[in-house]
Amino acid sequence: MSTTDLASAKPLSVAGATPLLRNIFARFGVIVVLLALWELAARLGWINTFLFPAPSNIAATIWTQSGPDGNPPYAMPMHVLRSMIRLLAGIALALIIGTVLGVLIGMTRWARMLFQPLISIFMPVPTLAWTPVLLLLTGIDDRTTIIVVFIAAVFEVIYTIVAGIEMMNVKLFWVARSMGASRLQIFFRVIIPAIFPYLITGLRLGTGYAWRALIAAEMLAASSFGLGFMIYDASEYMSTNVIYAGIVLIAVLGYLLENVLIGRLEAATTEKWGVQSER
Amino acid sequence: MIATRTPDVPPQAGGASASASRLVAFATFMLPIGALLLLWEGTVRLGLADATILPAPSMIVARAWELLNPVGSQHSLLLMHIGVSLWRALAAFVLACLVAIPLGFALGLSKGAYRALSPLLSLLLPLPAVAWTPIFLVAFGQGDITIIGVCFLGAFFPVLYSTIQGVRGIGVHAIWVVRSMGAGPMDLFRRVLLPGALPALISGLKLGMAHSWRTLVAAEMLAALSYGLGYMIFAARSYMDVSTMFVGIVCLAVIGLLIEHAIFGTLERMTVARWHSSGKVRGAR
Amino acid sequence: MSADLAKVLPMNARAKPKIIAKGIQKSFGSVLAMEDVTLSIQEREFVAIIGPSGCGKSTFLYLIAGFEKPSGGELTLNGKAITGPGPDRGVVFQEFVLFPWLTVLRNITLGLDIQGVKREEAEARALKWIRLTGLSGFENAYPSTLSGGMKQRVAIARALTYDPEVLLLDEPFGALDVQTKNYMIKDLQNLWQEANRTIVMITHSVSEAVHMADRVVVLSSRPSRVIADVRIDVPHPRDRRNPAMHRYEDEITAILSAEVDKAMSLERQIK
Repeated sequence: MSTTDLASAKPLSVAGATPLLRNIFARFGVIVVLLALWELAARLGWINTFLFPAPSNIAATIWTQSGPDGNPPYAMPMHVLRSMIRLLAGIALALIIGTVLGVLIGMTRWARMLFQPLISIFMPVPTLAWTPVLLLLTGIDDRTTIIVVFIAAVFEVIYTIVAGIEMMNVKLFWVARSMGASRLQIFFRVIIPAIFPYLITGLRLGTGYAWRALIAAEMLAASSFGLGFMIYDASEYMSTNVIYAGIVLIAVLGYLLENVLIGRLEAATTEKWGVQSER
Repeated sequence: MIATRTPDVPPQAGGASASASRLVAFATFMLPIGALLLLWEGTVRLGLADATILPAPSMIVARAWELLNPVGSQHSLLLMHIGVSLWRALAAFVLACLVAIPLGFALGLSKGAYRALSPLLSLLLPLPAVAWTPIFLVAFGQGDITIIGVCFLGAFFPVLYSTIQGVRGIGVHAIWVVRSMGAGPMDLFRRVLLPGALPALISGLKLGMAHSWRTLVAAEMLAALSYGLGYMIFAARSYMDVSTMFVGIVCLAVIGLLIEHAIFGTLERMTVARWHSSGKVRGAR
Repeated sequence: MSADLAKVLPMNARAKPKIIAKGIQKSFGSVLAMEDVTLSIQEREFVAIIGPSGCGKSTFLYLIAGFEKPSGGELTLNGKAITGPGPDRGVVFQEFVLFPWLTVLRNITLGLDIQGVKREEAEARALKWIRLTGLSGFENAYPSTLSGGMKQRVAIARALTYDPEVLLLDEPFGALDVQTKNYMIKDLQNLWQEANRTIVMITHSVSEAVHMADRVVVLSSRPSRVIADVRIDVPHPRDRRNPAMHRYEDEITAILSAEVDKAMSLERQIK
């Protein structure tokens, strides 16, 4: 489920000073208008500013909490950083293990017979359900959250890689084999590049699930840092400013991860190669 | 190991019937699972794994049986948990559909509204629904409202997005054809919009229900007061009651599977699969 | 250049058998594709194999390449049985099968890269074939930007650069339009002389076969056997307008048509 289609909406024609301004206004016009209305309503006391603090307050919170006056100092960047590290670690694990497993399952009968049933029964388990077990096994904070991210992402990676291998032209192999390539060479020179578009799709979907899982896992299993922890902790103190600040960051980061990061990766590789993958 | 085309095995002598081959397929499917269960049971019995962290399958089944049976004058505890979870997830899902589907049709049909709102939508779509839990907790405390509210948000956006895509994918020509035949808005809806958007709609419903169910687990762990599978699992942690935790995990998986295959599978088969030869609607997670 | 080579290397170069097929059988499941294919290909010969659709001519090529195994009979290369693919036999497929993530140059040097040859040496060796296939200037392009004809040139250069003893072409011009194809055939005439190795080409076009090959082998319809083996005794460079060429074309076309008719009527009988 990609959001790039939505993101590439054509700009409305609005009389603006420069094309750039027009572009920005068109893209985020509604968001800006909504924010302005919210601010107005808050200032005029039309809405409950405890439950719906004014955007300016939220922005101020982000600002102060990002600096040395925060509580703790540089709180926001630290929370963001910790979440990002956990996410990347989990995804990296999912990529490596998922790719190896996916290739094995796609290419060999024994791996498919062994793993397909296992995956079919483990995949429907909601990822977060494993959190309490993991808490007992690996304790709180990083280890549990990273494993949760791993679980969330790995199934998607495996699934799309298996699909990618099924779609791969067997003759690409034949060419490499006829040149005398070893199995390892075939893996790195043929299989990985050939399934790359599918890998990217799996990565995009997996990242989406991973981000969701991470935030929830941090709420349940983190004791000090992380965006999930931050907003859950804030609810205990009823600091709605901080909660909204967290939500904004989580939304923005989620959007950037799924669209910008992966989009750039796609542009550098699959678009240049002129290949498309099925979505 | 690399796949080469080898000659096919000649057809089985004696003509294996379809049901026999399905039995074989089922057996090969269960083989690794059975082996895993045996291995699991073995390692725990032999003391190689800590039973306080990893209970043996037999212990899990025993606990499931315990929870299933009514205690005293009360109902079966397990069934209570399952029932509460199901009601929450379904209520959230139905609510989400009631709002998202009409809204999706409206946005899908109106180019202006779509262009205006799509950046907002694309920003909100990757936002995990669980992130709204703290606000709900502050506003409503723990309990059903928070849980259903969060699950509603979890299901709302996927259903909305899929509906919009479905409607936009219909293409203006189909609409023109029916309008040139003198169709009014009701006709248009019935004959073109609904059937045309149905595949994407069903896919979205599947996704929305899956999201609702998965969000439910996290929401219950955070915000449930007494019942619910998520609550059951999380509460069991304080007693180090791993058997119960695993009973919960199994139930979650089974119910999730049932929902996806039984409900949506039949829905798909009755509608989309009959209309499109390729017939496949993408699975939900 | 080709005229000199033609004098130095007579068509029937050293009757030393390179590839020997004896009684080759191949079945897919219950379908018998090849019944009894027996032929011998000499070193440095250019043999074209032609036959009705579905007769298994491409399959025969895959047997030589080692991608498939025969169900019966003997297939040897240099006297040794063929057990799998290897760098002694280069393949060019109808659908090019270029690696889209590699530039033209890297596609061409792929065989040498796999063998661990250093970059500079690999590129130097590739240069000769890049020139001969007319790809100079396109070294850094990606395959997705090339036309069909260009892609096939890359595939051919790729198959030749790592110097396999045998070159196997599976309907190399099948995916190209007629004009491109005719141009390629004319343009690449020197190439086969320069390559100076055993070439086996599958084609369904009689004119292609007669134009390029030393020998044309005709297979029957499924289950296939060899039904004709025609030596083309016309020196290179060959001219389409040469009456001898027309005679060969007519002869082979007649054999082929008879076979196609037989196959079609059999099909109708079954229906």
